[in-house]
Amino acid sequence: MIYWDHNSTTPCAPEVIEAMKPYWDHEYGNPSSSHIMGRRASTAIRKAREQVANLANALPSEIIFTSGATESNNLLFLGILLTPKTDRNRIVVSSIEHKSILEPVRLLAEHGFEVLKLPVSECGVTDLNAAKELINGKTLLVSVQGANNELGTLQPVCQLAEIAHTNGAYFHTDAAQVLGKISFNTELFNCDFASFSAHKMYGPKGIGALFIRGGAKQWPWSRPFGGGGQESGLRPGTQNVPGIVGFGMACEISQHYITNQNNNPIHHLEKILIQKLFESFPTGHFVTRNTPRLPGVVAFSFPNISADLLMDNIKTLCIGKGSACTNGAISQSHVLNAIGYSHDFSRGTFRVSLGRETDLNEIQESIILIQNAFHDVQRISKQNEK
Amino acid sequence: MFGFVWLAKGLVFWFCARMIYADYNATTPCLPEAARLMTRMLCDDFGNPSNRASLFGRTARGAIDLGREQVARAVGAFADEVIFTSGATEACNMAIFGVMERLMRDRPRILTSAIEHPAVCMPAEACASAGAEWIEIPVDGQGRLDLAALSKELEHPTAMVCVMAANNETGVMQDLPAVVKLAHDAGALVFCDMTQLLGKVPFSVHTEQVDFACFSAHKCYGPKGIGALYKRRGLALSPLLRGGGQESGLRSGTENVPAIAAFGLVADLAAREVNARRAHLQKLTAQLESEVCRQIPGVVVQSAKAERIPGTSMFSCPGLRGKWLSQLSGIVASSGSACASMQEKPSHVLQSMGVDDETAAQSIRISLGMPSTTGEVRQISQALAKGAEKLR
Repeated sequence: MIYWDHNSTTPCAPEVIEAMKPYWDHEYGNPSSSHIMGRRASTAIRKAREQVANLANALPSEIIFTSGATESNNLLFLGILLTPKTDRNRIVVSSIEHKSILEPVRLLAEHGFEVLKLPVSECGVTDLNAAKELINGKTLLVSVQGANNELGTLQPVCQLAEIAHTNGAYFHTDAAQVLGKISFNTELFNCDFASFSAHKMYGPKGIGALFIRGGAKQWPWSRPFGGGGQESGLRPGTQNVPGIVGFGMACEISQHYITNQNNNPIHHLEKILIQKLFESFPTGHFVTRNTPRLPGVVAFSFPNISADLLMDNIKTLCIGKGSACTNGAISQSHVLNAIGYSHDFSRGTFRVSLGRETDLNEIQESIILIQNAFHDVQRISKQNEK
Repeated sequence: MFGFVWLAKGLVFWFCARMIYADYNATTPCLPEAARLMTRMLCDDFGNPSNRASLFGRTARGAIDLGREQVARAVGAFADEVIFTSGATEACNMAIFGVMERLMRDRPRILTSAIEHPAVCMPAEACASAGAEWIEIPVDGQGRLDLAALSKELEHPTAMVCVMAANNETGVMQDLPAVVKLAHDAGALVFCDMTQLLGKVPFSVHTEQVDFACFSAHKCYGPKGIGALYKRRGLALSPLLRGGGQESGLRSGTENVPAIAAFGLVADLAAREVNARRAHLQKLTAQLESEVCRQIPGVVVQSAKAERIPGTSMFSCPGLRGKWLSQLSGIVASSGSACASMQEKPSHVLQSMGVDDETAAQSIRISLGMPSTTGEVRQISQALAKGAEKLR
């Protein structure tokens, strides 16, 4: 089996598992307990908080652990929703955000907030001119993802943050796809809030974090969840100690990949993959080819063929079609829609996201698999036409 | 087989920690089988269950389906009535906010027992600041809910009644059928915190007829970071976390597949072994309480006259000078809920039962678990006696 869907989720790194094991087994204390077992668990959390903070160039007190990026995003928007409204009630997001941003802002819109979506170019990059126009003194929050999950395109986060800040608005970035893949620096990107997810960067599922500049003390809104007061009261509930420890370790090992970014073999592999794809399918499209992207993410389109059918015919290669979160529903990807793909075109688009374990053999093997499946699907559709 | 596994677990624990753990109501160790299953799901079968087109995704989906069925069977629900959350706290928040949001206009009123966990009190308080009426129903000296007061408060249109099946600090169990009958007769929904129940006493959410219930894996030898909300079929609920629409749209976010699979495994085991576990805990609790009462004159076992879950004993010793808990050498125990222990406040549970602050601050909760042994219990009772002796 070849796994090429790393934007959807990743396997846990062996070091991460090793780090987590003792916390299932004998270091199982409740970190809120004041006894020795509890203190040992809270020490482990403190260390992991430092590891996560180090990778994002933040302070440990600025990291709030959640159950994942979806919860981090919801925490932010629920906080806004539950706080008494002021004149500043405009929320600006890009039109290619993840569902865990778009759904909460829809709720905000229902409750009287003015929600505006920034258009994106056909290369999948948020339009800065539109941002300058739409972000004004009435804007409360601007939220634009660091990189798109379906296209891998990097967004102009620094510039957007600056526009937001000159208008007195907060800036949030959903960095679930960025952290651990390319350098993410909360200082440099100048964001006030950022959402992270461990399972997109070789950490465990069920754990993520929200970065809050200045820490929980600076949280400007209501605290939407109630309970035992863990995570400075922002995210109550017994902390997922093994998950947090695993997330910390995943961040630590990611440092290595990021500092050696230029020598990262993934760039080379991606180049070969694109070249081979075009050799085999000269009619194919890859619109975001020249846009700065996450390493190893290729959204390739075949005209006049269904990517679903294609994927059904490649049993041993796992690739994605749009966001995994929207895979269940048979609806067109809102991301491809936003960059102007027609229905026919987006139907034929699949997403490859290479990972740390991808090698040259996998590329050669997969190209053959895709080719065979392509011919099978073409034959079937021709038969159906007859 | 089951005895051997627990024995092995107990031995490992003994050599590793050399401390006697007696805080199983705060959290429990994860069963080795569950940890192994999680390791496999994290390394090999790691797919995203929403990617239904791939084998990886379908394997993950299968693991979730199995976990859901196992949890549902263990608590006596249908599989489609179980929603996985990140833990019991999230499930409490989700049920209370999800119900109150819908009923805020017609029945803006929420009743909770005075001894609920903060995960229930605080969302209720938030509803109160959003304009709902929040009333705490008092309990008697044994921690049992005052049903007359409940019935009186239910005379006004009420959205929901929140009552915990078994209290985490004293172990006191409530008369659920009576609470449910009163609430349903008044047209109110019942949310029941059943976190401490799983694997200690047999029960079924369908028999109890509660409308919502929450569970947590790490209280019954499963992993931290996973829990479940039971929602009776046909009831409406607004989601708390929105996004990709996982868990039938009620709880978005990539499912924590390894933890769900492990929760299924431990819930299944808990339900199947419940009678053996109950007997084990009952025997140890009886031993502990009789030894402690014999050795320490004047000690009180809280809620002793009420029905309790086995394994939980809250001891109070009035008249001690100094902190009793700090005198317990070699024993890992607590003075109450872990969630409240950071705040160093006397337990609100004991306060509600009419225990004075000084005595409440001098109380120790011993909660035993499956790895606990007769020998450990003897050491615990001796340590309690020695500690009390020093402070007299």
